[in-house]
Amino acid sequence: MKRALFLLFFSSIAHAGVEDTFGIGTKPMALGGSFAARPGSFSAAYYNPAGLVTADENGGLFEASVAMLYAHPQLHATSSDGRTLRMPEVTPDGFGTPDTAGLVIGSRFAVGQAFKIEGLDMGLALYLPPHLFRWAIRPDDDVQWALLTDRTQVLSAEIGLAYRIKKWLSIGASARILFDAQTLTRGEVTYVRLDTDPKTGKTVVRTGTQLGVDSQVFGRVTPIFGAMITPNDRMHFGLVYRHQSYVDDWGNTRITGVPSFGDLGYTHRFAHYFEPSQFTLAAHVDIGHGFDVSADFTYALWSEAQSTNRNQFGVPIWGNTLTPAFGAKYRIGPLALMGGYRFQKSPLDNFGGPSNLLDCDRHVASFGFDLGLWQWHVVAAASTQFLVERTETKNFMLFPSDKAWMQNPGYPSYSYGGHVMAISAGVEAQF
Amino acid sequence: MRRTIGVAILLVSSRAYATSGTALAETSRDAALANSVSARPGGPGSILLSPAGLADVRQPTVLFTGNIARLEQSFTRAGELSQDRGRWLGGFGFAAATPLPGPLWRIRLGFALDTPAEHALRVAVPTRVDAPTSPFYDGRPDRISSILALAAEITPRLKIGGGIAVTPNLDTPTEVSYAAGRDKSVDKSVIIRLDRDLKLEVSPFIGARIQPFQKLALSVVYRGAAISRARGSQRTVAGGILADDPIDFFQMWDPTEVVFGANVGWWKGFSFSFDVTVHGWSEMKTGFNTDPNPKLHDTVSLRSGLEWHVGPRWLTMRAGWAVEPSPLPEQTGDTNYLGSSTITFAGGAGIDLRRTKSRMPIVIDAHLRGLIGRTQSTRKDPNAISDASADLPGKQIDNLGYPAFKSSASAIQLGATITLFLGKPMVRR
Repeated sequence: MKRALFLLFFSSIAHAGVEDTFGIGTKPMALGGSFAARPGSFSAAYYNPAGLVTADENGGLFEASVAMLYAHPQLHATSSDGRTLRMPEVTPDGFGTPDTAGLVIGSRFAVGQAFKIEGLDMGLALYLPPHLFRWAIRPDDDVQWALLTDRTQVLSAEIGLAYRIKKWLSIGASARILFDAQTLTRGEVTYVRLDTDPKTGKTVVRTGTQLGVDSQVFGRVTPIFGAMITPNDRMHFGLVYRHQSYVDDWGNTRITGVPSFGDLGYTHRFAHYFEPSQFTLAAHVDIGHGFDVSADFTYALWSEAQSTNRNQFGVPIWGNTLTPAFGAKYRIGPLALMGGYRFQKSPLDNFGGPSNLLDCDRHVASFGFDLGLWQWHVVAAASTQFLVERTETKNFMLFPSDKAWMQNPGYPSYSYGGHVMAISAGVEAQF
Repeated sequence: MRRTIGVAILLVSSRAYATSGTALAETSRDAALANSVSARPGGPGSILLSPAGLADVRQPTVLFTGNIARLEQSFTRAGELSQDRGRWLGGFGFAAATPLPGPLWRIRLGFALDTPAEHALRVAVPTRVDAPTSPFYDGRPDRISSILALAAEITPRLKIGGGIAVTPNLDTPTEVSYAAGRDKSVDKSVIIRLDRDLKLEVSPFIGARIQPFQKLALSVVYRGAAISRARGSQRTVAGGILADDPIDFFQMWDPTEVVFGANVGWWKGFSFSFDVTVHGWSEMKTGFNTDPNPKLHDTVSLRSGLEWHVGPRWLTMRAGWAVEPSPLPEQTGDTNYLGSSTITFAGGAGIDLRRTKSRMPIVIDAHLRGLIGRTQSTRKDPNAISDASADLPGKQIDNLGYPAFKSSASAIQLGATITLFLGKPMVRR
């Protein structure tokens, strides 16, 4: 019996999640993501777990928050002859660059109160999109936005614990939860006949199959560690390490009983939502008169990222980045006005090679407010990401043949850019 | 040129019972009472079983639970050695509930999440409809589940609650093709494009509890069916071969249920509860979204629990039992579903540290539960089994349960729950 069982190893686009794109929580969005030295929010479960506890907090505490997040990207990719480049679609709607809509649910509570341990707090941050996850696997050379497609279409959760060792020092750790998926598909041929392919109109041998599947989704946990130093009441310094994470998606497919082939199938392995290891240094200063400012500097080891399909084309395309973020807040009575800015250097460059993963340097500007009404807070924020226009020209020296060079979807060159608008609004309650 | 044919990739998921629905993941208090809790005072760990009980929460409360279980299950075809299908199960749960602050104190908000220890989700749909599978034990403990609920205290003797349980549905359109010459490597010339979309859909639950007399509470609960579907086109093109079969897999986690409950107490610290549950198993479909042959039928299960607050009430002892008739008719036809009627015996204890000298706002509960199933015995009816090959003369039978099979299942479970009360009571009596 002739067998053809093909082995493929693919990995998909390396991505950061909703946290780095829009922020997990309304306040971090308003402050440009400069949040690692701002304690006292459930969002600290991601930005700096040590910030789940504050220096002056005593007794019981329970906070809950719910907010909606909506973002609309307006992006373009145009070839040198003026054509709009589109991502090949599997589903009729295609994933393209979809809008982002979801709920951000957060809670922070003094878990130590029950054990009579002051300064032991727990926090939970959950981003809940309409889909538990939604991702699109495409070959590296399909034209596709690498960091603005499905990265915000997946559930994201962080649960953290912080302990105030001294009034001036807190430490914390969080677990970031993602998923791995294993899919084993089995099929039996039920019929074989000559037919016409409805998509191409060509005559083909249609092979009917009865399929079965064994799919398992596993949880994957990666750690985040943080420390918060509070030398005095008006100053905080944060230090954070986030370990790399990604979704591993593997499995195989085998169909038995194919006439003149025997068993046929393939093995696949993809990686999604790659997030690099990151180090963040941050400072927050209360200047007085209701005004405070913060600055965060995050170094991300993108160079450790597997490129799409595990560097299938042999050209390293990822590079480390340093992202500065700044935030400011001005409080007038129960109302606080917030603003922020960050510059996200793109970790990605195809260098004219076969890959067509699109990404641009980004300027992110944001603002928002926090209105306190008794035990309730109404918070809202908006942000705009301006993508710096980029042009890429395919380099024939990086292709195995002239034919492959000219058949590349990005041949001979293309330009791309755009902007992304995002809003978030919600309520927080303190109990 | 080498040719490749490949097909589908699939995945699925949905809602389920405990804190939020995963089978065998109840909190220790509920498990020790054999889930007879719909008319009892509730809390964050009983939201799905007793939605109105969420209105009993008086202060921010969080709860963590964990359990481990051994499931023994066997399948024995006549004249063959028994196949051991036993496995270990484990899971964790988290729940939180609170009254809303200020003038909204009559409203309570609750959230619960269950996650199995091994899988966040497992969906297994065998290629053959006659593969031996259990609709009760194979998939229901293997999925993450969550619920969000609201409850209101209309009056001190009338409480209502309701919420939604998350039920994911999966679309996985896949396109596999072979592009000769795309790369020097044959492997890299195979192109896979696939979308995976796990949509979160919801199924509702609602309940009410009334206390006509101080020592008597009556309840009614409705829970919608938790069903998941996995769909998607599966197109594979390799040279002149085309495999283009749509997928439509169907998985029912829990049927529609209606519960009527009663709770009487307290006589010297004793309370006694009794629940009658109608399970709509007749709506169940096979994994291929067809009616099972033969169809399942609806069942009525009985549950009862006894709780005793000992002495100064820092210690609570619990016991419970339940009878769950099997919805499976004798498997004389194409399907070979495994499962039979079960009896549940459970016991447990809880320590309320608030009532001890330590005054710590913590309650710790533990339970031990056993499920004993009858032996399922089936002899196949050749007239009820589909012809395996219509091209051959006579009726060809290749059913995996033919000519007869026996199956049995039992489980034992150990679990613990810790409940933390945060802040001060916001609702006073």
